[in-house]
Amino acid sequence: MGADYRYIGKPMPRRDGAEIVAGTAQFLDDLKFPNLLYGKVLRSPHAHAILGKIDKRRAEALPGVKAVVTWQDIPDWKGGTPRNVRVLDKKVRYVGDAAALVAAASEQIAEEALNLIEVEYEVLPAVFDIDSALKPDAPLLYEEFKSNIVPGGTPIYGPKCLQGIVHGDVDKGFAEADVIAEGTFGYENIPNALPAESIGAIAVWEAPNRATIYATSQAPYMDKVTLFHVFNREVEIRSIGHHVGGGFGTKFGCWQVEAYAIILARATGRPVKVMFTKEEHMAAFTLRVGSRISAKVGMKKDGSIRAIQGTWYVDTGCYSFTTQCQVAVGSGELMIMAQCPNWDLKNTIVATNRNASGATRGFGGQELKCSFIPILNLAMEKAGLDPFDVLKKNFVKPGGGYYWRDGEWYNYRGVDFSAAMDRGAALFGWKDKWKGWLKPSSVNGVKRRGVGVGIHGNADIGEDVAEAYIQLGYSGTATIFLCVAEHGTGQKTNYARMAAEVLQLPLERIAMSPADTLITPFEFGPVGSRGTYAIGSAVIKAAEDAKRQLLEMAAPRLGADPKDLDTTDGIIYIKGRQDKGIKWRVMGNDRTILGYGRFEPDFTMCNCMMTFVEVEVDTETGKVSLARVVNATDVGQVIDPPGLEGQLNGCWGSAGIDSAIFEETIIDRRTGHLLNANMIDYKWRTFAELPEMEHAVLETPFPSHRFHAVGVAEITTSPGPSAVLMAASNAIEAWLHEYPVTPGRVLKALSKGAAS
Amino acid sequence: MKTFTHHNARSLREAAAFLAKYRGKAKIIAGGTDLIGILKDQCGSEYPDALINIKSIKGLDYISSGKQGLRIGALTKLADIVHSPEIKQRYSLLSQAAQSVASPNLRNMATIGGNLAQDVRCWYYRYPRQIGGPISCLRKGGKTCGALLGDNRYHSIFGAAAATEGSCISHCPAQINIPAYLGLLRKGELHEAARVLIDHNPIPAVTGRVCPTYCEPHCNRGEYDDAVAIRSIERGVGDYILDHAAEFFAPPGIESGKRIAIVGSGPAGLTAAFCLRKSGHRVTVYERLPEPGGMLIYSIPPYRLPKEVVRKEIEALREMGVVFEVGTNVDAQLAAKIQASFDAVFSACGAWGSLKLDVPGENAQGVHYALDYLKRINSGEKLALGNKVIVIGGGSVAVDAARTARRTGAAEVHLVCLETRDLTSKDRMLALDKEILQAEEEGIIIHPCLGIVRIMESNGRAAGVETKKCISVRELDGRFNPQYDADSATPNLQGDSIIVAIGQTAGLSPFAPANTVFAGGDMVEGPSTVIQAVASAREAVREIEALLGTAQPEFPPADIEPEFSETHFDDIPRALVEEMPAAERIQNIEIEDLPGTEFRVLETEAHRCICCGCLAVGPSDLAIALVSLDAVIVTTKRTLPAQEFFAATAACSTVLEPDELIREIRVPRPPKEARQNYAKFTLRKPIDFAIVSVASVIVLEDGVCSDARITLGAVAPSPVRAKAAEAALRGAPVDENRAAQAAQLALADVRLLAMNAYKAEIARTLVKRSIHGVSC
Repeated sequence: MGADYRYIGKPMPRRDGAEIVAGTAQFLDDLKFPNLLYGKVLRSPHAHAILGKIDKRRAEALPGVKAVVTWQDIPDWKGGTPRNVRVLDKKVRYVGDAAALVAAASEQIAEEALNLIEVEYEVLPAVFDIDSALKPDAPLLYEEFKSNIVPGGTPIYGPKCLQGIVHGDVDKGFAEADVIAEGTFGYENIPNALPAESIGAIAVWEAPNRATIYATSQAPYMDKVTLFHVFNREVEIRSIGHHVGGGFGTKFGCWQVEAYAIILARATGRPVKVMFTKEEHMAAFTLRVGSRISAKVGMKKDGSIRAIQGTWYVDTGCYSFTTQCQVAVGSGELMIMAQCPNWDLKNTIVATNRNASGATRGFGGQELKCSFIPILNLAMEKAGLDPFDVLKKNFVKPGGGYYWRDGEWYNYRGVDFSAAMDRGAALFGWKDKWKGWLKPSSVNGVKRRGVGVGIHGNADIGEDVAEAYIQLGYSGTATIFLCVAEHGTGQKTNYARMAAEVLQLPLERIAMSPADTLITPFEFGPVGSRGTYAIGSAVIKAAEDAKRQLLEMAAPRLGADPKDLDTTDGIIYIKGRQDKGIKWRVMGNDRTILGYGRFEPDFTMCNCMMTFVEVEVDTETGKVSLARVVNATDVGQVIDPPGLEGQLNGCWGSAGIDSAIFEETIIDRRTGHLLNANMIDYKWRTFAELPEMEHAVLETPFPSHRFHAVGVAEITTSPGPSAVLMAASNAIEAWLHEYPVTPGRVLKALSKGAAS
Repeated sequence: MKTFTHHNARSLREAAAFLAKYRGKAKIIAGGTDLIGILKDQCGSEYPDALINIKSIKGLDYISSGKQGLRIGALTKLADIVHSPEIKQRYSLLSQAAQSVASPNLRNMATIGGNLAQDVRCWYYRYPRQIGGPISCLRKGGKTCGALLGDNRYHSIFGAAAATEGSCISHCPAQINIPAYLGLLRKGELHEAARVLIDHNPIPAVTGRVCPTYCEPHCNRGEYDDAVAIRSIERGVGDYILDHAAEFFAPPGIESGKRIAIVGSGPAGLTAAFCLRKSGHRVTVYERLPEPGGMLIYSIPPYRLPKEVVRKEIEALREMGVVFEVGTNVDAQLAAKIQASFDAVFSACGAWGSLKLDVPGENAQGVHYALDYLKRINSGEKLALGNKVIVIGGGSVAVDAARTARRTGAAEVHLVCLETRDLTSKDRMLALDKEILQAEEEGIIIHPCLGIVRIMESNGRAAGVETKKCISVRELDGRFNPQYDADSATPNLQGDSIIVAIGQTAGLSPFAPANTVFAGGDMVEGPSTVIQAVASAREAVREIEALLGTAQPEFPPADIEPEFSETHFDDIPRALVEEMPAAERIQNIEIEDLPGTEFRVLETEAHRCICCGCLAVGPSDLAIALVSLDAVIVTTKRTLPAQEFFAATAACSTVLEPDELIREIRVPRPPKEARQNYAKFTLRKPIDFAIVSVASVIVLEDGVCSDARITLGAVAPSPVRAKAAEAALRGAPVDENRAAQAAQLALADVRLLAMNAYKAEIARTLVKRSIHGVSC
């Protein structure tokens, strides 16, 4: 425990809790606009085709239809990385790709209009996985991407953007190793993080070149930046955030739907709302990347990893927006978990004919590790080592280091997570339950239990710039100007409590501006794990800056040096003489005190999550059930206890642990149809069958900001999937290497293994 | 969602009337839990115009139990079934099954009737419009089942519900059950395959050579690569039949004592002769020409149909006891005699009359009519037409005549026709594509779009034709109405002989109309194909048998196990049959252009038939419980056992007609000591539809099973009764070994797909556990 705080670390209701529960919180679909039109997207039935003749006359003639827009009607507006993806193109690249947009007076008319647009498709052969995409004669999604290989690197991570890891001497490393394991393993089931709210945007156009966008975005300010480039730097964008029904990282990438809304608003001169249905959300919005690794690992008998060499294949679907970022971050994250001196890890990003991959929590690292750990398991098995010991030993510690996304080397200056891992292992009972590789913890007839452990850590906690203003009011209030849309984590409440803690104001006296790029400074968005450290730092600094100005203003009146002053509950006083204070009112109602805080990226620290799982396998049906989960972490300082608990409890869902149990996106490998775009066939755990969950959370102060905390929520999903593979393999005494561990796979493994 | 009309029905009768009124464009809404997804996703081929709400019907939500058993009104909510004390106590299988459905909020809405009539969960069938759908599939009248080569992890492990429409069968004029005999061929049961074929078509060796193949263009295999080479297979099996004629054309075991006369020995006459003789009737066939066979002998050239084949057919029929009276022209006088002395008459005299051009010069020497010409050639006459022959007409007979002329010595053959050579045009030549191409290969020169003004003469002999430009042949509705452009210059063609082949007509029947006189073949239908003649003869035979009171029941008796189609996909290319090169073909008319195919190749080809069917599984949890409880479903039209109610087709999981509704479910009271168990395997406990489910009722007396009913769900289009497993349990003590043995038997006949083998293993486990009363 750190200092005795008034708000930090105290359980309290979220400020927006009541309105969310009561249903009065305003989400995108609740916003009202006069003359609003409804936009819909005509989607391709083919996975790969060139659009021929498009006849939209019948659709345009339908009463109520205000615009029908195709690629022929708009300039060459493009997004993606590199920026080569036309918002509407003459080519469609997945089943569900946009062929035309319609705006109409009602959703129903818009839908009917879609059926009246006649499109001739020249169908092309398509590729649905990494192997077929890389074949020498494979059809190309983009002429400019030879062999369907998407160029690596991204300008936003700078000229040295991490594109793989070359470090030390792998030959030497393998020579030193006692065991070497190799193989090709994947995490290609593309689980969908699936926030509850779908994807959408409302655009208001103001001729000649201004657009205001309201979207389901978890990063409104970045939308302004992204869309500015998409529209060839010719359109001035104002982006306004509000309540967002969950994001899990995915809602960093709403630029496409936002572009549709803007195009339709521009075409009609009226506000237009484009709201994806759940089916569109699941089949036409971004997914996780598919990941596969072919690699070799060398390890010593003492569990130290000496060499890693191989190629990481990343399936990005029909285009890339953040995939190069995920490759950079994911590679760095592997270094954090595997403090190995010798590296040669290349990567290849591959385009395929399915909907695009985008940002999702775990951001490259979860995908890479889920592919990599099965190889590590083979090495640990060969060396006869306990995976807990090996994972603990190889995770970064003070004095260690890693390359991060910008290609620079960073020496780690955070805390040692070993204590948290030990606490977790004790809570879980690891030492009792671990019986060795491919050995069950217990057998009860056809029910067998096994345990597994996984780990993840992320130096994104200090990524990207955050800025905030705090304006003090003469009546003893403060207003935070911050471009953060509340996407479900409760961080807006937490920023208010950080400001309240600095300013020592009652929480209810802290107001917060809407997330509106017209009035707030820059903020990258609560993604990665940066909400607590990066954004929190900006808010804290803004509060401190405001407080400094306040005390400087008050110093002459109190005849004291500003450094001897303090303030509590709107009273300024000389330290130790709280009864003799003056009210903030002394600043007068004609003065504005505006504090400014800016956070500069810092990659010298990371967070860590170790997850222990116990599964039960029915050897006659192949069903794997998640019995128990223990998460272990050190967060420096808990800011929001129930919020943290909720995040830790969320480890199984939103493309987390259950991506190893039953979550997967199922694509027909012949036609490219995404078959399970509904909540019956996409297997999301329901509340009726939650596992037992416990958490070990330590608070060793981090050298981060004033409250010594780091964010951890993003990565709660990441260590679990590989732990499940390990646990289920142990339970049935046979290796399971594919995600998820479906009954079919388990039964197949059992028929070859010992436990059948 | 689109707008729809909404009606509140006050009675089932009114609801049925609404359904009838909307002719399939209305949907019933009971609980609505299934319907809402279908409407939102617009996955159907048609969106309903109206929803008929039956929640407004009073008095249909009841549960009443008595000594007779249980009665449940169709609108009873699943939640009420779950919570009913009498159901829990005595019909616990039903409450377990109801409890397993979805989640509490859905069970509060959903009704038992709706549960039984719900649509399948197949993700191809339900693929939504919003994301590039819907996907056309067999269930919606399409041509393929996405699950066959797609992701079929949740689909049937017992085969498919056979397609009812759109397949090869329905396009064959004789409705030959092609998948059935190909299926037997795949199993190596050639003899049985031949039986199926000959039952539909007694002259497959003929049709296997000359049929224009109505089936192949509709063969759904063509959606993947190429159609199955059905005609080649038919020819092979047909030849096999002729090689084993003694078995297939065996005289009937019992004579009926009825006498039937057939006039005409073409394909219709031969077909009728076979079918009627097989039924035990005495059959006499009258033929005007010296040799039986009609058009098969006298019109179709031997390079397409060797006469030997026809002669073997005739010989086989003779051996069977059919009497042929050749050289006998049935005039009115003989007709009257025949009519008086036979129990029935089938008249199939063909269409031997030739249409005339009606132009000057038609009577000149050297002008022939195609059928007459072919008849003379096929009778062995060496008829020389000179070096340069002009054939007038664009149909199959014209092409036959032209090719025959070319092969019998004409150096140059010109074919002049009104129609265009553009085979995609409404005005195209009527001959088959292939025939036209073959004729061209053989050097026949086609002059399309030309009408005949007159036949030019030289010394009383035909010397050529004067032509005019034909600019349109048929109206848009297909009516023949040629239009000419008199101003366009067109060539006049020189020729030594002219063959007119512009159409044939039938003569008048010599028989006085009577209820014992039937007609068929070209004589009735006009010039058509051999297989159409076969079909028309079979229709006449059906009527004759009905008249004589000797009709066989058309459908096997009820209480048969559901037959699922053995849907599969073997990645084999279509059998290649190479035609003789044109240069060799034109040397003679006797050798067949198309050689036969080795039997081994044809068997392989049979594996290419995918046995079109819908692989979706029955979705209802309650259905299998009701089958195991031996329940009866009462609808607005009938009362039938649950098993029959759920006899699925590719189009529907129940036998409900479009305007039929479920009224009540009746369940007989199971013995008190019956152990009832519903086992359901899903990935998630709530919400999910079964991957496999098992409903069992095991009656135990002192540990010995006296009766067992076990039904499997979600493994096939319909509930599957595990009768072999039940039999293994009856009379035996139910122990581990016996349960395991029963489980093996229950899954003995699986037909696994690429991704669903695990379902069979789970099903075995569930059967075993269910017998022991464990729910999963």
